[in-house]
Parts: sequence; structure tokens; C-alpha cells
Amino acid sequence: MNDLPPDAALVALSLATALVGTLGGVGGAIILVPVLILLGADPRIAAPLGILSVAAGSLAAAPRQLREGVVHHRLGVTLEITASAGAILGAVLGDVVPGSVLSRFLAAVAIVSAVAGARRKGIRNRPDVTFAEEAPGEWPGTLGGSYRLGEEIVPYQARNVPLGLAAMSGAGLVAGLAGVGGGFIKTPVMSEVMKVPVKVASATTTFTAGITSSASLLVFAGQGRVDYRAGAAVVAGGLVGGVLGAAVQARLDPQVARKVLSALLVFIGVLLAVRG
Amino acid sequence: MSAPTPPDGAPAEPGGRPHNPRIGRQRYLVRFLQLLLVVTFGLAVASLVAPTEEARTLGLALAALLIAVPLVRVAWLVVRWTGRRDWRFVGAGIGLLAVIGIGVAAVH
Repeated sequence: MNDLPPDAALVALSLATALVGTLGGVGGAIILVPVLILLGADPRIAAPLGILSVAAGSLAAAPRQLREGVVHHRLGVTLEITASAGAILGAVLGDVVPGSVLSRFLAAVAIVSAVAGARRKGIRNRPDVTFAEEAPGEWPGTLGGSYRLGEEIVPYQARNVPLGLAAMSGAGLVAGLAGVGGGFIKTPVMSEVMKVPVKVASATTTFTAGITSSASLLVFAGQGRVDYRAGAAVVAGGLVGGVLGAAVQARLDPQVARKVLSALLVFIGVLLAVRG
Repeated sequence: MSAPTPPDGAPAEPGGRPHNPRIGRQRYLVRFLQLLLVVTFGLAVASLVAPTEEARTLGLALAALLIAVPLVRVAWLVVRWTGRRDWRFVGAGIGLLAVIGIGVAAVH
């Protein structure tokens, strides 16, 4: 079972999944990989394609997020130590676990992602006039910082770091095993457990997803699991879909987009679980 | 919740002005990443239109680029933090690169 769609179909599929995934704030891989498997692809080949899509999405989002000053590099680098270790372990396990088990695991991941996306919350930290004159960004030497919310500056400080590190190893494991970005774990952990604002958590997750992808891809490449031509199709479609998704996102109600995406993920997850 | 405070003792810029590390600090990284984004898209499209053997080579280069970019970004951050004597995070960055390097070497 290794029937990848033709290049043109892969580009279109990747474009569509990246567009929908960006609208829902979870990226395209979480839809792309299950759909590829449903279309007959071997999960061991589909997972690296998903990770290539994550890597491209991380690169595409980086310039805008850096200009906005919402990426916390120190937090991302710290959390990626355990996430990358988990991703390497996940990529290794993915080569020995039977395809049917991987498919069911991915079904569970899609459904959990759907629930996490539907439950995502809004703002926790509030603006503070003390920081009104300050340029937003991370504070050197700390896991704290500030970001711009409208015309105001919001300070924050990451908490529960050991718990966050433990959770990130799980997120990395899922990413390496299933070929998804793991953002549906990372962003809620940073936001709900570590008390980092959602906007910063989301941007920092995008940065860390690129590193997790690097670690996983290095293992996948060594295992000979990367279909480079199909990967190029996925990256080309994913970059265009990501840009279009970001443009459309500004005009949509994020709550509605997340709920539609959650429903879609539940449908895909159930289908994948039933077909095995 | 009490508001966190920015760290004291940030080094001053030459000329005595207080150092603000957040103004224009990442403009070179932004330009670098924008350039790589264009190169990535170009490689992906070229791989799709090239004959089979060349397509694989271009796809391989594309994957190598996507693997290298985040790691180069971490290395760039380590260099910056070293310049700022932010040793805790220099250690974190080196630790991260070591985990990936040792992990991947152990697997292969």
C-alpha cells in the first residue's frame, strides 16, 4: 500500500489542507497525512510528507511573526530540547510500528486535535500601562516578555517550566510518529499550563515546529522514507495554501473556522479508525 | 496577577544610551528567512517541472534546506545570546543542537 496521488493532485491536496488548516490555526499536516492514508498511501511515507509540510509552514510564517515580535526564542529553544528528543524517538518508532497501528494512532491524534481546537480559549494576560513605552518582545535572560495587543503592551512570564518540558516530549513523540506538527499539544500547553499568551504561544509553536521537523526529517531521510518528488509537490502546495489561508483568515470569525475544522478532523479521524 | 518586570542590568549601547534589545534586532533574520522562503518555493516548483532524475535531486536539496533552516536559526540565536552573555540560553541552544546531533547519530 503506497499509492501516492499524482504530483498535480498532491499540490492541490496540500494547498487545500494548508488553507483549511491555517484557517483553523492548526496547520495543514494534521489533515494532509490522514487524507493521504485514506487515499491509499503507506503511513510510513505519508508521515514524512506531513513533516515537510510542517517545515514549510514554519518557514513561511516566520518573517511575519518575527516582525510582530511575538516569537519567544528562548522559550522555544528551551522547550525544544525535550520535544526534539521525543520527535527522534517517535520517528524511530514509526518505522517499526505496523501501518495499521500508525493509522489508528493518527485517527486518535486527529480527534484529540479536533477537541483541543474546539476548546481553545482567548486572552488570559491583560495589558499593563507600565509597559506602554516598551517595544514588544522577549526579555533577555528570562522566559518572560511582552507583546502588543492593539495599542497596548501586555507583559507575561512563563510558569511551570518542568511540566511544560515533560509535555513537549509527548508533543515531539506524536510529531515524529504521526508526521504532524504537534501544535495542537504545544500551543495549549504553553497557554494553559505555562500561562503564556495564546498569540505568543502560537507563534513560538510555529518556530519550534520547524525544529521538531528538522529532527524528524533527519531520521526519516536516514530510514529512506522521504519521497523527495512528492515532498516538493507538498511543499509547493503547502506554501501557497498557507499564504492564501493567512489572507482569508483575517476576514473570518476564528471560532467558526476552528469549529468547522474540528468537525472535519473528527470525520477524518473516525473514517481512518474504521478503515484502519 | 502581578505584572512581571523586565530584567535589570541590560548592557548599555556604545555612547551610553540604554540598550534596547528589541528594536530592529531581527531585521537580518527576517530578510534571510524571506530569501530562503523564495528559494524554497523555487526549488519546489523546479522539482515539479524537472525530469525525474533532476527532480529527485532538487527535491533532496529542498528537504536539506528545510532541515537546515531551523538549525541555522538556532545557531544564529546562540551566537547572539553569546554576544549578550545570556549564558543560560546559550547552554539551552547548544544543548538543543547536541540533542538533535547525538540523537540522529545514534539512530543511524
